[in-house]
Amino acid sequence: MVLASLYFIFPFYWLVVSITKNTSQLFQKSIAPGVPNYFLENVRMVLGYENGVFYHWLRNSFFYATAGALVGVFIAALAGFAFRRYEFYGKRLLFLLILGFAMVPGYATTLPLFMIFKSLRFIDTPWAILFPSFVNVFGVYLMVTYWNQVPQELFDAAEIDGASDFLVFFRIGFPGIATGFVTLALLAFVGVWNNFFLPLVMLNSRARMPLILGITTITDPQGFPVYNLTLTASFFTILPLLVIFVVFQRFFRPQLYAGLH
Amino acid sequence: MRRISGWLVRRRREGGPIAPFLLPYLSFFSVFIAAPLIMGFLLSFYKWDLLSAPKFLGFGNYLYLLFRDSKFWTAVRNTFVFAGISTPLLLVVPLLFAIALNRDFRGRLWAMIGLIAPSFFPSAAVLLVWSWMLDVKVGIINYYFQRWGLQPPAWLSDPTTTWLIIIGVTLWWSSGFNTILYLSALQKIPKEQYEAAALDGAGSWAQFWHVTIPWLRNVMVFISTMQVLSSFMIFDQIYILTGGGPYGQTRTVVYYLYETGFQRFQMGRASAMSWLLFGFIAVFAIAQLEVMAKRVRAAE
Repeated sequence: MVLASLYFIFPFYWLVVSITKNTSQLFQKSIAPGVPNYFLENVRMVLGYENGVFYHWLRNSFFYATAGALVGVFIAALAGFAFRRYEFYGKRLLFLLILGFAMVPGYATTLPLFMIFKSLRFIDTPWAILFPSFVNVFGVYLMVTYWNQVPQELFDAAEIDGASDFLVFFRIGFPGIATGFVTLALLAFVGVWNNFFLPLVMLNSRARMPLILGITTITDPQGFPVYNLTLTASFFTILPLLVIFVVFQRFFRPQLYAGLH
Repeated sequence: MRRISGWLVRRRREGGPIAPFLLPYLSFFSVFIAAPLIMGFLLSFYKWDLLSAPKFLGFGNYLYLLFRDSKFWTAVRNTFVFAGISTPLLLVVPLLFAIALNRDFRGRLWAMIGLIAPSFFPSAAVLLVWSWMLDVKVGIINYYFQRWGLQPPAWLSDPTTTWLIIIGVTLWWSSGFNTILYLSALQKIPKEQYEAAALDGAGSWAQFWHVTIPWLRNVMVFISTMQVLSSFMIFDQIYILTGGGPYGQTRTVVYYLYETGFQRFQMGRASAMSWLLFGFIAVFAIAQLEVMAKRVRAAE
């Protein structure tokens, strides 16, 4: 039990302690926080690293994750609405197709996507990260279930009032699926923020990288690791997610994935 | 456009056309998922380095990978070993956590956050912290090995300890996610079932075996499926911790795919590899569905 909690807690603790130390304190390997405390100095060094490339990473991460999550989930909500409200030929087939493709690993599409983006000159631009995040296959599946939970009477009432489909979508449907929307958007945000493979393959310029990729490139000019910088930057890659996780705790329901809710 | 949607759609009563709702998704889906998949499939029959003209090889890439490329088979073996070891661990350890967290105790909320939050953390940050802790010269772990008079292992130079680390980090990182799945399933078990079992004289072990486990069966099937699928995809751990070393002993299929496609630019061969990987996954998923269907039938 003690070993287990050590195994789970210690890495947290060690990260938090380590970022209060400068390099020579780090090498002394004391379990206590650094004396004097170098945390602010480390933050200043991270922000000043390579003319403030860290600002770019931070901004990129927020931009890719926010835009990718919102647009992706919104498009999925539209598609879910279509599946709920319309009958059309091949509806079942299309839904099965979408579900089937949800099983396809991202790695299988990344390579050809790389070639397509290369010919479109998207490589090393934000589009290479944004476009793939706009397709939220799993989101469509969940959105269909969310829309199916909106009672039919609401739609009927709106139709009697003569509301157009767009009005129905925004005014009636949307409040009905708002919780689902937030949950999905949060999961998508985390998903884009944490996606390592896509930016690794698509981006070359450090100024375009998101945090998750940027922090792996921190070295001194000779190419040696700079532990205090890497650790402090890692901490700030985790921190936004930790804050989001604690604030929006009730929306993080992995049960969704299992369809067990 | 209107004719197409008019043909496709039998509208429900009044309302606008379906196109604005379905089209954004369908177009993104076809361009960024369906088209790349098809293109990758076609490309797997060619030899192409992105520069010169593609050369048709027929099944050449597949035959090479399956029969001539020992590196590929090593990668497949490594991936299977990882899946085979990490899946049972990630099935059992989170269950223990969930059972512990299912009771009331002081600080339960913080224990939950501490345990569950890491599964939402970015891989690179987690892995960089671990590789700092495990560093042979400056890491804290080897420091304590030495202080306690133990011979510190050369963690990332020996295949066995390297795998131990990869699995250990993965367990640290993804236990929380499965724990929530178990926890929500545990909370659905009716209390009466335990009471009835206790009346029949079942001890806590028998209760666990005959009440808890049957209620968790669906979650367990789900977790094991997801876990096998995601261990087939293992990449970040390998890229950041080992780079496939030592001596290619931790090179996994996706890592090999990355090396082939994005470092050596053998696009055709890498495409073939991703379709083989896809094939493994499809076979596994279908087998899993069969098993589940059988279970359901047996239950009926």
